[in-house]
Amino acid sequence: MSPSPDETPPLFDISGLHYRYAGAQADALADLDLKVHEGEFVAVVGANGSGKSTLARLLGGLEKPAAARHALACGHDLLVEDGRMAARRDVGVLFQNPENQLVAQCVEDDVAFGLENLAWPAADIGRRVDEMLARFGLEDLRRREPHMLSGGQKQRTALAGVIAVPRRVLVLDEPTAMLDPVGRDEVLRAVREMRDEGLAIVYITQEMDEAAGADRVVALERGTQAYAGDAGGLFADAALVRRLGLGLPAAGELALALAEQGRGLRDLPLTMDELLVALGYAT
Amino acid sequence: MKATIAQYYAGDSLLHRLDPRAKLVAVSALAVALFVRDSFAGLAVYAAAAVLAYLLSGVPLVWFWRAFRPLLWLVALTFVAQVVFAPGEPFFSFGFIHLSWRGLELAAFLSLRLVVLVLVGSVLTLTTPSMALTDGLAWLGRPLRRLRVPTDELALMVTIALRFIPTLLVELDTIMRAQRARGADFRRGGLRERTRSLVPVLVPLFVLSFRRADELALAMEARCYRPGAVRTRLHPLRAGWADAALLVAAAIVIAAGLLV
Repeated sequence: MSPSPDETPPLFDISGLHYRYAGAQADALADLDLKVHEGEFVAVVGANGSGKSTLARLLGGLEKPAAARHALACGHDLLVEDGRMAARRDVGVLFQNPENQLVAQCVEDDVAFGLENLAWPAADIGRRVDEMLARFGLEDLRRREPHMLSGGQKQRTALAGVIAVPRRVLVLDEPTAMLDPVGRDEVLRAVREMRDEGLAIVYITQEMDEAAGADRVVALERGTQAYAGDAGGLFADAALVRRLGLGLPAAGELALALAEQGRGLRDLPLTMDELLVALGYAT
Repeated sequence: MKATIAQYYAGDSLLHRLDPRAKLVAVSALAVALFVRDSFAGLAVYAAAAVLAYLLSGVPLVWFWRAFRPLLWLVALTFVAQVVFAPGEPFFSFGFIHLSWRGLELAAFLSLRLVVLVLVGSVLTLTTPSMALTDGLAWLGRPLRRLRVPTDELALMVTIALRFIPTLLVELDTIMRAQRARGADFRRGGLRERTRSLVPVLVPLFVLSFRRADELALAMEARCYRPGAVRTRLHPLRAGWADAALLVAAAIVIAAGLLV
């Protein structure tokens, strides 16, 4: 599962990407570089309006870049129409609001939607849908109507629908932002499983706890890249974190509060486990 | 909150398993026959067929009542209008009201006809999920594609519209509560004022709906939807002998009703 940058071509190979909304004065994304390799989990963070969602749409081949030196998604050129259409098959995009992603009147039909669009034979769709329902624990809900589902169930259905189409990489745009704690845990567990299976994931989030576990973090500031590197490096730079309007993971906040009480820790912990180790409660 | 149109009762009766196209054709033909035929004998045949269909559907009577209730006033109005205004030799007169046997007969006939029609229609919608209904309609409308009518896209539109009715009802409720919390009163005033008080409700509902539509379109594209492209279905429509039998039975019933 270790990234092998030198052997396989990256799943996303983006350089000098620009995007501007019609009628806008400034670029929503400017001169952005991004490389994502097989098996990587890359978190993208940034304040509202920093261009995170725009990036998700561009990566999924759902918007046309204004310009780029090169913009490849799974080998497809995002600068041309055919490339974007091809990218939509390989790149799965999950959006924030589960309600606005469910098309069909019941769970199983919604999971089938992408495969129906790709004109798979009915028997193959049926097998794949069964597989997805089992994987996301939705078997008992297969005939359930969307408005009878909880937030977490809706988002899991949407996720099942996204990866029912075999994907090479996933882009998740704040998938837990509109969920209650139970729903958030359900979705995070599903994401963790996909990561463990080696699926590359670009995870857009405002939750620093969710970003803390990423292989790499990219921070956006008004459409430009303000930081790219490991999570520890970002959160260690207090001034940058403040400027970007971010925060610290809960464990980091706790460590800082302890430091104010005179119990400073050598390294800033990013997860609760790290915090417990740093405090000597665990090894 | 529950949408009352096209309500479906999840079941596994013979009627549930029939192809929606066969059911649509049979019910439409029966509806036409109901309106063409104007004798009690014919009506009795169709009513018997409707009751049989109800028994076969395995749907509890209360569900039919729920579908029927909103139309009750229509039946009542039909009855009263016929009794009061029908021609014939009056056996009782009071002011402008003249009751005649002919009028009573006509009123009973027309109301009964309406009841049978609602019953037949309810059997269709209660035993067929709306998605299967729209699929059936899209298939039956296929000849229209020669005239460049995008029937499959229309069917998907209807499906999505039905899917979002409960969502929009919840949204409407939220907006009305928000307006009420700010002092709006939707119950008082004349028709004009009440209509006007709905504007601040409908405007945000429309704005939100357009935003939803944008996001939904994006999510559909992300799942490789392309208008006009060939699609397959998880549950393709499959007609069998039972469906042929239904059509034959419907033809026999209709003919019987027309001939008696």
